[in-house]
Amino acid sequence: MECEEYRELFPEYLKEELDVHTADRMHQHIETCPECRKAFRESAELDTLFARLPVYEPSPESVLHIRAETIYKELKPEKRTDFGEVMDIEELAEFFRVTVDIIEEYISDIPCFELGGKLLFRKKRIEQWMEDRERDFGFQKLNAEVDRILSSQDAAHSWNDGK
Amino acid sequence: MNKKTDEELMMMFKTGNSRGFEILFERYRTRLFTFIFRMLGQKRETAEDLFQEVYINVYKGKDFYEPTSRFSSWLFTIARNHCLNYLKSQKYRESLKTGSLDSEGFPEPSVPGTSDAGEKDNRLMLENALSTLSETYREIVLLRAVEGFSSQEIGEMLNMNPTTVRSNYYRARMELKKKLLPVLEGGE
Repeated sequence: MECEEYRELFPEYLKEELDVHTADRMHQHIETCPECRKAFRESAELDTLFARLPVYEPSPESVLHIRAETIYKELKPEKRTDFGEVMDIEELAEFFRVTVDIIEEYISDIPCFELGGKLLFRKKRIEQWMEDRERDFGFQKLNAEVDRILSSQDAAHSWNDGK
Repeated sequence: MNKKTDEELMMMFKTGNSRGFEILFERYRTRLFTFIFRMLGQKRETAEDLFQEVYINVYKGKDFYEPTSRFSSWLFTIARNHCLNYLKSQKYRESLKTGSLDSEGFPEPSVPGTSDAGEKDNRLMLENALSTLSETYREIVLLRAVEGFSSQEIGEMLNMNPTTVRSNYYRARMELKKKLLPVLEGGE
């Protein structure tokens, strides 16, 4: 082999990718040819420099964009609006955007019926129940407000009485 | 799950489990970005765009992946094609004319290998020398010396004879050596 051919194989030799026979010949050639020995040393130094090259990180925005355009876009759950007249417990949880656990926690309060071991909820009754709860909640808030006003008046009167 | 091979993860993803994609994305994102960044001559903004395009294409093109080839070869071939298309585009030629390539400069690397100033200079010289190589030489050098693909693999990726890959790599290294002579001789 000519010097040039040996030099072309330096990268393979450095990465120990040559077969034993060629590696042997390479070793002997580098020992005997001062020019190639110098070139080999430079080649090794170049590889060292390559190994020390830094790496660069993509920006967090790029990473976010890729996630949004791939996994999230394909797998995000669609928001359902097409609930039927009768819902099961999973559908009701989805309807309220809460977990099934929350529904179970309030189950004694929510109008429902049982059929074949399954709890079912009529949408109409649920809507009515929601209105009742809204009204109750409204009353509670109102009562709390009235209580607050009354107690502040009590405080003012007892202050005056004391004087 | 992280111990699975790239190819196993890709097959997982192909058969409907997106976790495979997620792990592969994490595994390769720095390497792939670094490759694209250097291929484009350190233009960060463009590199970010191409990086996004490549991964979105990998996601959408999962059905084109054949388990007979290494995932990394497939990924870097896609990235390389995107880079070359971009480099060939008129947009790039124009940006060269207006000199925007020079104005961006080198960002700070995310993982500095050493704090030694001389060492940093040497690396910067190599970065500069790399960006002056022709596109063909640059991609071969990056795939071979940085990414560690064999001449055979690069031949398949670039549709080139492995012997041609080897001789191009040799010539590219000669060019780099010439540009880095002061650094390399200093090491003797």
